[in-house]
Amino acid sequence: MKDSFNPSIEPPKKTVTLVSSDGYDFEVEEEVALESQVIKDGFEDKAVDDREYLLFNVHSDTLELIIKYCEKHVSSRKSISAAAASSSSSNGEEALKEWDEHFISVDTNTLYDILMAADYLNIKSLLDLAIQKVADTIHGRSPEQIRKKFNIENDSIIDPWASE
Amino acid sequence: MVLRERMDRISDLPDHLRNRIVSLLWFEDAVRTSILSRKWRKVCSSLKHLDFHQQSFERTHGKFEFKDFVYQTLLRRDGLSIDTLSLCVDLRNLSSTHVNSWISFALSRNLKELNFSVFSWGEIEKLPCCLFTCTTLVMLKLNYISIELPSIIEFPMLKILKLTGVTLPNENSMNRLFSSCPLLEKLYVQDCLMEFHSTLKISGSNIVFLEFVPLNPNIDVKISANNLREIDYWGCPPDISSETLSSLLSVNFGLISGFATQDVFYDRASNIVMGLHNVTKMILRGYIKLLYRGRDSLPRLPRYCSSLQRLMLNMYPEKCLVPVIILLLSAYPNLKHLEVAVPEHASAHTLNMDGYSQALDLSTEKSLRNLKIVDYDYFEGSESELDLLKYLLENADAMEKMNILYTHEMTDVSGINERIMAFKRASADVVISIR
Repeated sequence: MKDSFNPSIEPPKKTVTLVSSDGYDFEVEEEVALESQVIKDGFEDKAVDDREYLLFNVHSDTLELIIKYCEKHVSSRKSISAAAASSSSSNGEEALKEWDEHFISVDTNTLYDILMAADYLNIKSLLDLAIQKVADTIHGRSPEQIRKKFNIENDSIIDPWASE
Repeated sequence: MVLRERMDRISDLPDHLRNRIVSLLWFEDAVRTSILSRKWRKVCSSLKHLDFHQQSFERTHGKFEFKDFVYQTLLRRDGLSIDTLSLCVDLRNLSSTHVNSWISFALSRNLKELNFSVFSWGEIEKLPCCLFTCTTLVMLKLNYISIELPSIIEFPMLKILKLTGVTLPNENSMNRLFSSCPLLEKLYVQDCLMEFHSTLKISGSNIVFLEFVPLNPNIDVKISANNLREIDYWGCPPDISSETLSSLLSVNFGLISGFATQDVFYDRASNIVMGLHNVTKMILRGYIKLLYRGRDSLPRLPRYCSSLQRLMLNMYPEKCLVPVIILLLSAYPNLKHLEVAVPEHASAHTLNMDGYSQALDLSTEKSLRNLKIVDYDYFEGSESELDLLKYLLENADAMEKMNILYTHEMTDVSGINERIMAFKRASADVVISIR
């Protein structure tokens, strides 16, 4: 991730570095990283100058997606609560739902990677989203279609519910 | 990368994730995943909510026997506990011996909730005796079934009992059923045909919610539940203890057509309305007519009840009833929202009650000081209805909105609208909307 000069008057935001399993560094804002319950839990115990997290189970491709998700949710939360405070009408929640739906519409392998990473990092809303997506993919399909979709080899003996 | 694309990764998901995925599927889809491969075999044993619906099963798996599906699913569970069993069967092509064995099996696995439905009216069913002495059951729902009760009934943990379309041989059975649930909190009796001759008793100090919507209009019920908070009751006015009435916060009382008027019901209707000291929301359907006891006696109405904020009256405001409504309103100084809805096919009797209304003291000074919203649905524009609107507009000095919705049969209403708009208004800010 590139560092960019921030000209705003606000004090510079605290950042942490997330290191992917394949050795790439991702510098993200602290509050974005804290979306992960695992990082949050370990945050207090870490030394003040140690701002690096080694994520042995998350590949850089997946980590990039996870960070995108967390950044979106942090910023949406802010704009939704700002809209509520000024009592102006907003369709923030709806828009975020749509964004989520679009975000999770990925191929089966990526979905699986997101699912595992969300579980490992304990990001509840993302885990729920990914699990629901897998369930939706299975829903309404015959066993044979499910096997094909997920590359499951049929090693069971008989299939009593096979359709004609 | 090619290899990764073709890998079966879902089968290797940790159990806790795969179980969560399967638990989100429809029950039949979930069970079906167990035949995907050997690795999936045990996955459906993690399901704690079993849902067998014969009709929908047979729609999708025509040739395959529902019976076998249930047996196989249950057998795969070994000794694992079952939290809920929802079973909907057609007893025209399924022996009740099977059904009873499934229920018994689930009961022996620490079942907490049973929802049993029969979608074909069959013979009287004898449900397994162990059901009626089950020590784990928290919720029991029985739907569209005629049952006989065994001699011993005891539901020590039951908190929710819902009977829909259930036929029991007599009121004694139902009384026995109700009195065998010491912890009961919510009781629903819906669409039950009850040819009863004596009183049905509903009592229990843990009951907080009661819904009673029988098919017959004239069932005599006695209610004593000192912690009842909410009631939805249809039929002739029940005999409710005064402690029960004072504990109620939200009530909905209605009459069922075919209701036979008896003197005792006038007294009970008055007792109910007068005894509700803490009610915040009240719906009365047809009850105003019972509160008005005829032209020769004065209505018995509550004097003062500061808790009521929302009142809905479902009735036709005949001329004789308008003073009763006005008197009733005067007892609720904190009423904020009044809704009047005229039931369909209401017939307008025109009685000359001028002398009567003068006999009532209508000086209800400041009684409507908190009334903010009045909704009047299915307005017909009759004189007595106009009298009521006129009274409300002239006396409710904090009113913000009056919404009047005409019944759809009305054609030329401009004359009536003009009259409404010309009524004197106690509140300068009231917005009247007429549709």
